[in-house]
Amino acid sequence: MNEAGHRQRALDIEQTIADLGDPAIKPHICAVLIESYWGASFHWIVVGCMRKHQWHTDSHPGLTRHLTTLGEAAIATEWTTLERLRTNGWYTYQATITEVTQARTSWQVVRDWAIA
Amino acid sequence: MARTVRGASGVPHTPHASGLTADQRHESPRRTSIQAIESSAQATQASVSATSQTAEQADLMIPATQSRAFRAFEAIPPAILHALEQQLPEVAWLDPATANALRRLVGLLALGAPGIRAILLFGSVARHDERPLTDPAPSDVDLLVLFEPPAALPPNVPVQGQAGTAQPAQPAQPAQPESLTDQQQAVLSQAVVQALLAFPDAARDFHITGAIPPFTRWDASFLAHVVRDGLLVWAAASPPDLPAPLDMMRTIQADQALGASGAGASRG
Repeated sequence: MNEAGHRQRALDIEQTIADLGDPAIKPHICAVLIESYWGASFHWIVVGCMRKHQWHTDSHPGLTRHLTTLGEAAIATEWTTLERLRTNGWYTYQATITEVTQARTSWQVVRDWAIA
Repeated sequence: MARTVRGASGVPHTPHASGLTADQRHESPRRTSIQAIESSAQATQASVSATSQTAEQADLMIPATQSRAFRAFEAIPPAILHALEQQLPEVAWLDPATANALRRLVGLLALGAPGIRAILLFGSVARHDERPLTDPAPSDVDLLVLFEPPAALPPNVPVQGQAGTAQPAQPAQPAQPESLTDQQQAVLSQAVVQALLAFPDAARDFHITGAIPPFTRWDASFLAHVVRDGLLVWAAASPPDLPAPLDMMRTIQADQALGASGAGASRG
C-alpha cells in the first residue's frame, strides 16, 4: 500500500471513530474505539515513516523496534502504549473511558507527527 | 550473580458526483471526523477527569505536568542499574540480546518507576513454549507489572474549595479505578523503548501489561494463566530472597478474592 492508501485508511478509521459516538453514553464501544485509535495510529505511523524516512511496512510486529532504529523514540513510546491499551482492552477488560482517552491522546501525538 | 529461572497526500483524482475537488473530498471527511472525535472527547471529559484526577492525586511522585516528558530513568546511576541487572533472574532460553533487554527493562522499572510492587513474566516465554526466532512471528516477551493500589482518601476529608475555604465534608471516595494513570502508561512504554535503544539486537518484542489490584475487572482465565505459568522477576519487597513465584501468585489470588468479596483492599 502506498502513502495515499495508508492515509485514506487512517481517515476512514477516524470516520468510524466519529460514527461510533460517545463512550460515556455507550460504554460497550470502548474496546472498539481503542482498537480504532490503534489502527488509525498504525496507518499514520506508516505515513510518517514514508514521508520522513522513506521506510515502509504493512505489518505491526516489531514496529516499536523499527521506530527506535529510525530515531523516533517518542513515537515508539506512543505506539507501545497503544499496543498495550489495545491488548488489555480485549483480553483483560481494561477498556473504559480512561483508556479510550489515553488511546486518543497517543493517536493525536502520532497523527500530528505524521503530518508535520 | 544472575540466577537462572528454570521450569516454571496523494488522493486518487477520479470524477466525483459531489462536485468537490479531490483535495476537498479528501479533507472534508477528515475534518468531520476530527470534529466529531473532539466533540466526543469534550462530552466525556467530565467523567474522565473524575477518574483520572483521583488516580493522579495518589501518584504524587510524578507531577502530572510531566506526564509525557517523564524522564525518571535518566536519574538512575548506571552502576546501580547494572548491579541490579546482575541480580535479576536470567531467562536462560532467551537469546542473549533479548535477555539483556529484559533485564534492562526490569531494572529501569524497578529503579525508576514509583509504585511498582512486582514484575512477572508470563505467557509462552514463561512456559518456555515460545515460538522460535525462526518463526515468521516469534513470540513476544510478556510482562505483568503490578502497581501498588492508590491510597484511598480517608472518609470525610474536608476538600479545599477554589477560594481556599473548606467545603462541607465529602462522602468517602469511591473505590479507586484499576485503570493505569497517564504517567504509569508512559513510564511502562518508555522503559520498553529505552531497553530497545540499549539492546537494538533484541530479537523479540516486549509487551507489558500493567495492573492495579484488586483485579475486579480482569478476566479470570487470564489471571489463572498467570498464576499457573508466571515467573516472578522482581518484587519491591526486600526479604533476603525474592518471594517464590507461587507466593506472589497466591497474593494475586488473595487480591482477587478480596476484590470479589467487596473488601476492595489488597495486601501491601
